[in-house]
Amino acid sequence: MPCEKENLIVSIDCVSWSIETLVNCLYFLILIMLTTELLEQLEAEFRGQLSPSAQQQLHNALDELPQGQEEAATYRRLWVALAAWQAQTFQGQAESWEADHTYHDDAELIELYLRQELHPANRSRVEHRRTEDPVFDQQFRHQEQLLEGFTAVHSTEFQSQVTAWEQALPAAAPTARVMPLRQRWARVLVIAAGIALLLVAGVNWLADKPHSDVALAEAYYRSPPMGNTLGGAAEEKIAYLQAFDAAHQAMRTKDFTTAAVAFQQLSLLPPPTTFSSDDLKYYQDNIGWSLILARLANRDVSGDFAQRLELIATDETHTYHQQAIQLQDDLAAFWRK
Amino acid sequence: MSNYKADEQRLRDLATGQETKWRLFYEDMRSPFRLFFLKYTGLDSATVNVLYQDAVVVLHRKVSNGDLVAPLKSSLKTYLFGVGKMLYRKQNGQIAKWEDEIPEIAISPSVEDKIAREERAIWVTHLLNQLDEKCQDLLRKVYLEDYTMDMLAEELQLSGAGAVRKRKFDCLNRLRKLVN
Repeated sequence: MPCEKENLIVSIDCVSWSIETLVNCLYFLILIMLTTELLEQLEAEFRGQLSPSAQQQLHNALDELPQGQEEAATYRRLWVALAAWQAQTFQGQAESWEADHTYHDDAELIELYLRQELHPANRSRVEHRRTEDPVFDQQFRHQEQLLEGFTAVHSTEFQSQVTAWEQALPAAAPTARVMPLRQRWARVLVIAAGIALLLVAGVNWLADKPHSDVALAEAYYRSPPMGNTLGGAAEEKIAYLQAFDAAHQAMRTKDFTTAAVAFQQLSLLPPPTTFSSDDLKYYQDNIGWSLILARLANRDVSGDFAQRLELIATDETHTYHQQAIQLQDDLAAFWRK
Repeated sequence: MSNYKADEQRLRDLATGQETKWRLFYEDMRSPFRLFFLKYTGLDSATVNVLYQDAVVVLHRKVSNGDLVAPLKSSLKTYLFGVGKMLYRKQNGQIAKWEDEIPEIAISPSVEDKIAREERAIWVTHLLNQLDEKCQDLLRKVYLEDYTMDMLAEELQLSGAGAVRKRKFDCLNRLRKLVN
């Protein structure tokens, strides 16, 4: 009969057992005393880190032990359960992070709809929901108007930039010809609409903004090189870089509300698929940091502001890691005044 | 020379198991992942969120196990999207029109039944709770928080990685004794 676990725990009672039971009990004790080296190899095999020859040696060693393979199976079961425990714990963490994001999901969904980047089934869902959910429908209409306003402002800024580039080029060797995006009268209308919408969206920050908020943001802000990335770039990349330039243009002209909204939009925008990993890091780090500065200048330091700043400050690989730590210090000192 | 140096640095950060690193990764990838699956599948927004969480959990497992290490053959984003695609196919049994934006990758997530995973986690937590606090703490650090032996030696003020390894397997043996 096999020696039970209870026998092992109270093995002192073995003296009263039969020879057979004692032998079984001894086997069990030997198994429980599997060497650290053997367990280490077992775990390495479980993780797929053992060479075929080492695996063979391990199995030979296990075969020589009474119930060696059964014991190995029990340890594997434990490791599977420990991995499940880790995954389950991580899943719990991810669910807590998720709660911070779902608030923006509708806005993102609407934006994807307006950019015609939704699967037909999801387009239908959005359209259906608009008919049944007045709050969602209102949010949709507001966002649609806001996007039109941005497009108008954006087109105008881009037009100005293109004109400047054209003037800078030698007349005999044009590399690109950019057609006006809209008729002049239409442009004026959409610019007006855009500006009005931005005003409606809450652009009354200037009147009561304390100077020190702006001063702090401006002290940290560095404008990146602009407008030198168009040649031969794909349409998707051009649009992304235009939006990036427009957001920084707003920062440079101290239109911090527009800048904050633009950087927020950029942070939600998927980067071009043609970006290299270096490009990706450069732009995403810059957008994340610039959003913080724009929000600070705009006195929008509630909500997830501190959390965003903390994420950069604790990420040693982030381009603005050091600046974020300094800004945290400055803000701490600043708020005490 | 690797084309994914920034991703490899990020992978090393993630391999430390630090919550802040994973949270940042989670936040960076969430929107692009949602966009992709809302565009190319008929999954609704809430279901895509669940798919995203599942994909990140699988990637977390891959990184924790050391299955995904430098040099990378794709960006981490590509790996994550690849896991998402495989989960989608497994759960929905169909192939969406991906338009080859995301290349196929050689990573096969061991998609386990969530209920089975939860049961296993409950089972091992029950066993761990029967151990003394020192063993609980050590096994938690090794198997939950991905501490290296050197990190543990420093934290537990032991002579070195060898001493930690011995203590770890002592604790594992005690855990094994609790298994019926």
